[in-house]
Amino acid sequence: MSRKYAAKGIFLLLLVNLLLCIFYVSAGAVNISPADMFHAFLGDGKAEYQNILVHVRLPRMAACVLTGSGLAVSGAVIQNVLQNPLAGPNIIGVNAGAGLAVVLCSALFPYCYAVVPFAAFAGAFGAMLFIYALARKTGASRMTLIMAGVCVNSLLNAMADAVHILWDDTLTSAYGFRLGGFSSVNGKVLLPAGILILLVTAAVFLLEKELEVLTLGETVASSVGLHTTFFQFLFLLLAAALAGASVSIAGLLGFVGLLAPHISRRIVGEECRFMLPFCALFGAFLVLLCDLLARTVWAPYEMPTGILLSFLGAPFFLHLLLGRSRRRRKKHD
Amino acid sequence: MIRCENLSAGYGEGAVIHDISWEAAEGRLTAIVGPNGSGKSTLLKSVIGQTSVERGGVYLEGKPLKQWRHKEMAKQIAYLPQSRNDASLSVFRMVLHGRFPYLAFPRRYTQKDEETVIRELKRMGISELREKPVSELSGGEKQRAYLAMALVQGAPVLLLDEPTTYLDLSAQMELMELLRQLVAEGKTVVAVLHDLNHALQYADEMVLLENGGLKQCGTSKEILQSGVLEDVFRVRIHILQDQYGKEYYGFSSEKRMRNETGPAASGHPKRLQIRS
Repeated sequence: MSRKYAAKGIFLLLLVNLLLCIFYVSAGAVNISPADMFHAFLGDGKAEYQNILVHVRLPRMAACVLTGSGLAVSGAVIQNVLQNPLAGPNIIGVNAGAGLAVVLCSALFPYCYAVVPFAAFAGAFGAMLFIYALARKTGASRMTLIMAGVCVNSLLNAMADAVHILWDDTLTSAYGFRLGGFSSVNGKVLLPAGILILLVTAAVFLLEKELEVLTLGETVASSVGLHTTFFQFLFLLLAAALAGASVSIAGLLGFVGLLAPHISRRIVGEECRFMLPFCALFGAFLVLLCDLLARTVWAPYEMPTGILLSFLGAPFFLHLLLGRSRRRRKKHD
Repeated sequence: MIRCENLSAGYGEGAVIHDISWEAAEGRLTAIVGPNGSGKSTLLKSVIGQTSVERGGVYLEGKPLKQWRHKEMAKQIAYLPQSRNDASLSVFRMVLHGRFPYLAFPRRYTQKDEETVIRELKRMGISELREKPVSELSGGEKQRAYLAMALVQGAPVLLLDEPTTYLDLSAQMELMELLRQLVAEGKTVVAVLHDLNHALQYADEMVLLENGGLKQCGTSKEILQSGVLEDVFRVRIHILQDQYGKEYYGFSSEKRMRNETGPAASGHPKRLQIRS
């Protein structure tokens, strides 16, 4: 896609997201018209609407946007650095690492909310480093890396389950956390995690050329003067921070980090300066839309957003796997 | 310029090349030749610091390689590797990244960078492919795109690992002519060449490797006349000369020669005339 069309695509998606945000805030168990919303913002509307907007829907909307874009950009970075289109933070165990850290945090320091995003980041980074070291040491193929990631994922989830069993106070939130969703967004976690996501996303956008050069492979990247080891490490650190902060807000939301980068690449191409902003916006769009459906279709009941995302993401992952094996067979023929 | 001193290097599990001392001839085309597994690519990778050095060292402009900053080194040496990733970027964008070492605040490629890319794409004959994803190019087109990227780097030294791979015969000769042209423009070109014919025909200097060690280095003529090429490659070399005095090289297997003509006289290559 040409630069002009890519820029138009980003602008269009931004507009769509703005409209979706307005619809997201107005729709729900209590519908609030745009006019009432406007008055509520000015302070001369109904107090009930004001309360719903300020204490429930706006924080939830912010959580959706931040989590969606954080996971999407994290996925794009991981795929570029590992040069593996099948890698996503939920598939190679990064989200599970963050999840284990969050669960441990809630078991050991139940009232230290501000620590949660940073602990999640540490957990995500630990899992990411393990996978990365494995890939470098063994020169593992793309598929081996994914299978190793699935193993790490299971192991970390089992460890989180063990923590839930040992500290039964954490058991009440375990189910919702595992599925991923926004029904219990905690403002004390949202603020530090949101700031972390915004700062790290800005850093990734600034380093888009380095990220793009890395996709050319280690040998070519280093021959044009990129310090590959340093930047690979730095990007994995940033991706872990994004995944960790997102998990600390919404739990183990799956597939955003896989779906958003793939669809973005298909629409605006591989150039990171277009792909990254589009990917961040698309991740926000995906999560906003799924959460809107999750809380309105079955209202007043609510479906965890993670379930809807898995309904979308799992078939997409299968489609990618089958597409790859089909292409490989064609090549051999 | 580039100097290896008693260099032993490999990939972390023992040295692949042993005790190599060699200096690249400035403003000349040097061919690194040797049988399969002799360490040709490893030597080239060592020159840009992509192997683990076990003993000795590599010096660029008299300074140990490790003391060079990555971007500064990329301004001095451009490298075309033998195997690469299939990037999905457009040809233009990928070649533009050859200007990465020159990227300065506000971290945008300049008009001059883009003009350099256009010029090199034209020189490589792939201007019309500029918007095509690299992953969709044929092997030969890809090779040209990567070579354009190396040229865009504007480095005085060009290291090429088997640059004629994937190219058809006429494209191989065009590429070798291009390398001569680059040398005429003042560049130092060091290329791993699999094809002895290309090495003898186009290279000024030759580095002959055998079993990871340096067998001999010198001008192509000296090495040809010493007979060492025949020993290392186990072939007989025949020099063919046309009516204008231009020389071409033919090869036959030593085993076949022995069967057909008895024990081959060792030493100098045999000179033949081309019948026109």
